[in-house]
Amino acid sequence: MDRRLEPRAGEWIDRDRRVEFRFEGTAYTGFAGDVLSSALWAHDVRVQGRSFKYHRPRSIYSLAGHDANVIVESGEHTNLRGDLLQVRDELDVRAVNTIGGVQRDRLNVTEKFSRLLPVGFYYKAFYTPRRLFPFFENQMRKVAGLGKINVHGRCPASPKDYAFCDLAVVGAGPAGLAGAIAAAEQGLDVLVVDDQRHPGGSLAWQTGSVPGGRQLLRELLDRAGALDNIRLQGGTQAGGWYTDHWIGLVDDCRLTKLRARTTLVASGVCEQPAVFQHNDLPGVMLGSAAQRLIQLYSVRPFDSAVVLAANRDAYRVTLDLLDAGVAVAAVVDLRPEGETSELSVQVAATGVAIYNGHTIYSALPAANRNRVDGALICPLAADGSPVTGSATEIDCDGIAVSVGWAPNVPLFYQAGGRMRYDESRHQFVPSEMPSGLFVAGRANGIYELPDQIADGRRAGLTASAYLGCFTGEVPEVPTHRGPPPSHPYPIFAHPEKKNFVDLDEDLHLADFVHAHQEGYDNIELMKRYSTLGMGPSQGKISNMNGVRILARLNDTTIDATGSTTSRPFYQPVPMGHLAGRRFHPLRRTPMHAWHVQADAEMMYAGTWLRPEYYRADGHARNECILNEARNVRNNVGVIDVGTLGKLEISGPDAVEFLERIYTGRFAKQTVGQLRYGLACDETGVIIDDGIVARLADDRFYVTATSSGAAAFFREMQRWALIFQMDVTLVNSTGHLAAMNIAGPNSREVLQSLTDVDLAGAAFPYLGVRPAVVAGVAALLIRVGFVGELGYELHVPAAQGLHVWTALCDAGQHAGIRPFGVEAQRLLRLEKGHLIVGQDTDALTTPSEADMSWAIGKKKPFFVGGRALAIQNRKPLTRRLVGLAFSADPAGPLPKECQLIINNQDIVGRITSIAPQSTLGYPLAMSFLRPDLAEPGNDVQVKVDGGRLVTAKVVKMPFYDPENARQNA
Amino acid sequence: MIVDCGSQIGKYPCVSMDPLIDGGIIDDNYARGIPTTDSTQVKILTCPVNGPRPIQEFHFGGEVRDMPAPHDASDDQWAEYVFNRHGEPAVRREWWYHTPSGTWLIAERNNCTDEVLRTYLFDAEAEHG
Repeated sequence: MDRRLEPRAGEWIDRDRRVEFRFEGTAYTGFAGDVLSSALWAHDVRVQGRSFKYHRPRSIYSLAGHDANVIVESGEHTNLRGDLLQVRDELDVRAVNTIGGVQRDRLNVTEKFSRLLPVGFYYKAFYTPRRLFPFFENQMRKVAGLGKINVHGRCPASPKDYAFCDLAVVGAGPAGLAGAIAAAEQGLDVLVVDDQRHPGGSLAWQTGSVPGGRQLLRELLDRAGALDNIRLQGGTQAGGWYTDHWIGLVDDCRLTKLRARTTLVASGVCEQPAVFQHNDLPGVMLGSAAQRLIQLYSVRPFDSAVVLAANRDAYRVTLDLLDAGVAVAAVVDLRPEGETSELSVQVAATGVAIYNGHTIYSALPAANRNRVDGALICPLAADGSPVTGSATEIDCDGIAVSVGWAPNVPLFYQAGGRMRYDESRHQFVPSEMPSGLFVAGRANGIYELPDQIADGRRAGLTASAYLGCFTGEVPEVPTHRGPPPSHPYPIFAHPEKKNFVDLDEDLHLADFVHAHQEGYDNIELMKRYSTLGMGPSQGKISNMNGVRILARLNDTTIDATGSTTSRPFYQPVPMGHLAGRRFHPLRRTPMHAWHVQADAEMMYAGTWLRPEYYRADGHARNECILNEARNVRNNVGVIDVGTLGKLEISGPDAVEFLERIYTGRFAKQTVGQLRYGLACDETGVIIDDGIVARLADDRFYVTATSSGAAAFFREMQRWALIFQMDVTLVNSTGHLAAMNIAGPNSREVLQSLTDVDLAGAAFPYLGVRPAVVAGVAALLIRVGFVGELGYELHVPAAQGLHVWTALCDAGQHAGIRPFGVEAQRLLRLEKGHLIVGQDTDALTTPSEADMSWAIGKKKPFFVGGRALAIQNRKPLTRRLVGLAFSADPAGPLPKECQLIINNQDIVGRITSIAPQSTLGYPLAMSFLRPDLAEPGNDVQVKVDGGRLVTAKVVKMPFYDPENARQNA
Repeated sequence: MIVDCGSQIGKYPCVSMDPLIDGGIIDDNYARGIPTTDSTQVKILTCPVNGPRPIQEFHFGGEVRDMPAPHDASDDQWAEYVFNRHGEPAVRREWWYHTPSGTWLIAERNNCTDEVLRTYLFDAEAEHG
């Protein structure tokens, strides 16, 4: 049977483009512009989906994406909505969650057991015995759930886009368009989005009974089209509102990250169902859905209809149905007084019977239970309850329900807006507006067309004024006139309990009563216990009735009952739209390519990539590391230390600044000399260390730890502000390359590349010299981090690789080899140098780290000094000590962070360990209770498996305690 | 939403709530200690030098606190200064750092509504009172 109507003005289908698609294996034809549900309904395919729990036949309900009755899947995509999915050639879909197809879904048997499936069934039935839950779950997964994921499917690419505008208008209906035009006329850059493919909103599908409506829509679109600063995007869902008007826009293929300066929510209303027996049968639909079928898709919804009415819109629906050739058997109006406007006269004039003060008590199913066969109507008593004794049957094959609306304003809620219940409309209207966000039109409780447009204009001007683009007078919000657009309680009990409140979750009225009896009397608890609004349609057509039911059960007001929280996204979004790359900052030193070529294993150090060690054929990782370390001890090694923070501090207050930032003293430091710098935070905790080189009276060059440099420099800048000092701080970390050449042969190798006299007397330990190395201006710093004779070379980044290769070439005969971070860690551990952040934690003070020597005496002030003065009056609770293990350990050695145990008490923890060292025995650094920290003491470390391993406390450094080698 | 990391600035990543994914982020690099940009934070903060910029470019520096005179303050006063922060809902003066340009600034922020009332340079503070 073809239900398609003659072509009509404003239809969204393109009659010239016929498409063939398949549903449940059967081929159908439709027109381009059809959605799946409209194309199927045109062929009188009424059962288009099955419900989640009872597998009841379901079909078109809102035809606007407000319900989730029709969910289909193709091989590639799942969770496609029948009322949003455009038909096209080759579309081949089937309904989700059926056995044996949507027409005769065998899982419908669950309905037979519906009395055994009370609200909270899952919570009650399957929690015991626990061991059986996996079985129950497995069985339930087979019957529940919505569709299957094709794990072999292609993953479609989902691009991300960015957009910006002054005003984002959500909804291209009369209010949205009027608002966009008003704002654009004030010069705002406006982006209008609508989840429907075509603009117009209610003007598009209600025009049939609004005089001049189509003309009005054309005028609005013409005016908008004439303004270059309005962009209109159909088929786009404004899915989520985030801070500062960041809005996620979702269309078929992409997520657009929109940054607006203001937002106008003109997204209208969702029509709300009435709750009566069998209100879910295919053929029962919202009045707006019937209108959409007629006006947008030119499909005749029914042959004969009963209209359930409680507002003016129902009468427009009636006239549209009549216009489409539907025999309207009756208008059943819940209101005792009925419709008082001109519309009722028009309807009455057509001869349609109007039953005021009546309700549909039940939709009557056909024998196959797959469609409506009639309506059982009965009068309502004064208290609103059905008088079932006087019920009459009316034959019909469709029921259009138009009893009320609810604002469709997810973005308003997400932005922090609040609603109040308005008795003159019997629905929620905005009461508290978030900053920079405006609501207009039906979403704002303004229902009549001229008022909607006036309200849109008002909101557009308000947004312009908010942005300072409009200084004129902003009109007032139009007042609501006439009877309420919504019925306060369109909900009717029935003993057979097939009167559904939530179609997604198959919740009927009694479920709410039972949940309430069990104590779930708060809307949020009710939601979670009953699963109200937790299905794919997110309560768009169920929450309002749920709130009304709970308010009545609690005998309280709608306002006191409240509403549940609206969270992004407004509609389910394919995960691919949200998934995407995360961006990680990554830094490479100028010698990176060399390291990679030398087969270095690279590791992250903060944001930097550094060589962990250099792979050598036939050697395991630990052998490579140990060999690199031995080569430093015996010959010469070179390490890339370009990741160090390299900071320049200059100016008249430079000395005073350093004295405040670091614990040490710098006033008497001579030019050409360097000192150790230890920095604490205000609590006296060590935060960084490095060397402080004096280049001139008022100019210093300092290094900071690789991972701490950015934060340390940041803090330096802040202190300079707070101290109001005349210093210039430059972070040269990225401008400079740095390398450390260390080992007994380092002087010889370096000397061959520079004229600066490197002899010990001329350039002693802790000296700083400007130099030219391999033709490049360099700063030479004589340091001893690894405990050998060594020099750091700081050169411009661009020349880093040149100097590095020059060193490697010059050192070939001397046995030079590069070494990585791991070898350096081992060498410095042998030398007893701590690493901030490795051997110190968030509470470590200099005294604990045995670094009191680094604190200048009688300093008037340094950051952390006052706190340390307090700390130092208290007994020390731990000290950083060296531990030596047996050269031939019988079992596993401890790992970092494993605990030192004494009489079952925790007395310390390993901070660094070297299972192998150049000294021939394992060694470690650890915190230890001071009374146990005397050199020579034995301590027990608990290792993996719980065994205790003995270690001996030794005085650090382990290696070269006389410093003969570094001072050579 | 950013949690004040107190005096351990820079040592631990600031904890952030992810507005896109309920329940927070799962990020393997984050777990490995590799810094990540939290691309899901969408707030805009106005740097007095560089204008409105995305919040990812900024580092939170905690509440503006006035240091008592180190030698006059009692131990208790000093401990109060060093350890205590004011978390109760109010408009707070906070340090923020615009990382790409290295600019410290002061933001007056309502920590209840997360609304920034104004931002200005530390030096300009005196003029604004």
